[in-house]
Parts: sequence; C-alpha cells; structure tokens
Amino acid sequence: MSTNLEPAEAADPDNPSTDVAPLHRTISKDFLDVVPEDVFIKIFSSMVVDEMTKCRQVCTIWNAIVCTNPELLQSRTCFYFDGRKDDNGTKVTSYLDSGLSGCGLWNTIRSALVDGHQGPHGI
Amino acid sequence: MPVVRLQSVDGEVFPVDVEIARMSFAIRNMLDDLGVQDNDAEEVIPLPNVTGPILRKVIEWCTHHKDDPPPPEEDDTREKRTDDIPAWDQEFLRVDQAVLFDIILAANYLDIKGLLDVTCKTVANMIKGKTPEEIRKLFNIKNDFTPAEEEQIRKENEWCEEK
Repeated sequence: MSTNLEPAEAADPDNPSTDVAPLHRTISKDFLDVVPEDVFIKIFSSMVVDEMTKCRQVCTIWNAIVCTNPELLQSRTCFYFDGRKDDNGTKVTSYLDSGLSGCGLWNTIRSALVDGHQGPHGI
Repeated sequence: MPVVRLQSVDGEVFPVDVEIARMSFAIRNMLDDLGVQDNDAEEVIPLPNVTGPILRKVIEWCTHHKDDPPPPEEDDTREKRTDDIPAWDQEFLRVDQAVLFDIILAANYLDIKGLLDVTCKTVANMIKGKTPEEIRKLFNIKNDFTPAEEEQIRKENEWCEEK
C-alpha cells in the first residue's frame, strides 16, 4: 500500500514529522471566531468540572459555550429533575434542609430545571 | 491500490490511497456522491479549506492510523480521558499552536473523528492546570468580562466546586 505525499517526500511511518512550515499567522483572538463551537465543546468535554469552571473565566465566548451546552458543565454538576411531574423542587429542597451533611450537600448535589428554573437559583 | 487525488487550497495535489482518503467521512461522502468506486478513483477532490502543509500532515496521520479499529461511540455523559494519547500522536502533534489549530480545523472539516479526538485532547492537556489568566496568555485571548461579570462567575463557580 502506498500513499504519495507529493510534492514532499513520503513520510516515515515510524517518525512523525514535526516540521510543518509556519502558516504565516499566529494564534490570536481571531481563532475564537475561526474554531467552531463544536470543537470547543469537544475540547471542554474532556475536562473535569474544576477545569471547566476555570475555562468559564477566560472570556465571554468560552463562558457561554461551557454554560449553555448541556453536555458540559450541566451534565457534570447537575441533578436533573425535569420531567418529574410529582416534584417541583420541594423534595430536593427538603432533602438539602434536613440532610445530615447540611450545607455540604449543596456543593455535591446540584439541580437543574427545577420548576422551570435552572442553575443555582433553581431552588 | 486505486488512488484519489486531493487538492489543497493552494493547489498542491496529493495522490492518496482511496482506502486512506475514505477515513475522512467528508471525502467518503464526496466520492460516494460522485459515484466513484474504489477501482476507478482518479478523481481530483478539491479541499478549499485545507492548505498543502496541513493536508500533508492529515494524510500522514491517516496513513499511520489506517489499520486502527473504528473509534467507539461516544458517551457524552461520561468523563473523557486525555492521558491516553499514543506516543506517536504526541510526537506528531508537537507543532506550534497555529499548526495545531489548523490540523483541528482540517480534521473537523474533513470529519476525521480519530484525528479530531486526539487534537482536542492535546489542547485540553495544554489548558489543564493553568489559571484563567495563564490560559488567556497561552492563546492570546482578551479578558472581555466586566468586573461584575467576573464576580458573578466566581460566585457561580463556588456553587459548582467539587468537595
């Protein structure tokens, strides 16, 4: 099997080349416009929550991406209640109030879409 | 082995095995749309979003990984690892940031999942362990938050912190 890397010489399969010619530009704020949101989602999705929260603080674009895509911060930190017709949030509020761990639970149990509200103000 | 010719935006033409070119779902779809079969592939496929140097890198990656099993289906709810980048890929991606981001854009445009995965993990690893200010410096990003917005995010992040 052959793959011709014309006009350059064929690559050595055991030694990846790292000598790509510069593309005559440097990374600038423009790259925020050039890189599609899907790619940023993919980058952030491999991060733990603490890393994602730091990325939120970088710029408004990253903050919006991290916060508005359900597969990122929300899915990692939220306990979902939407669709539970029998629970408008009172059960989880009661659980948090009466739980032995007290406020500690607030930091480990998050809620989303409780009674139509979302995020830290949902309860 | 039949070949297809891939033409970069700057006019370079790369003859590539059809089997390797079809690792790109975008090229696969183009070949299918053109009705090109593996045994008659002499078509020139223009790739207007990819430069010659970057296309050469992409072909090199695809050639090295041509016998890899297909990547598993993603589970969006599961945390993904970034410490599993093969040594060859780590060396392959030891390039400057502009090139790395162009490879990402090419992988995204050409729809080469494996290459996109490994490049995104590389960027994630570059970000990990850095402060927001260090990340801004790394990618030359301007802090466009107002002080009030920064304070709001800081408060929200407290709510998200893992204990």
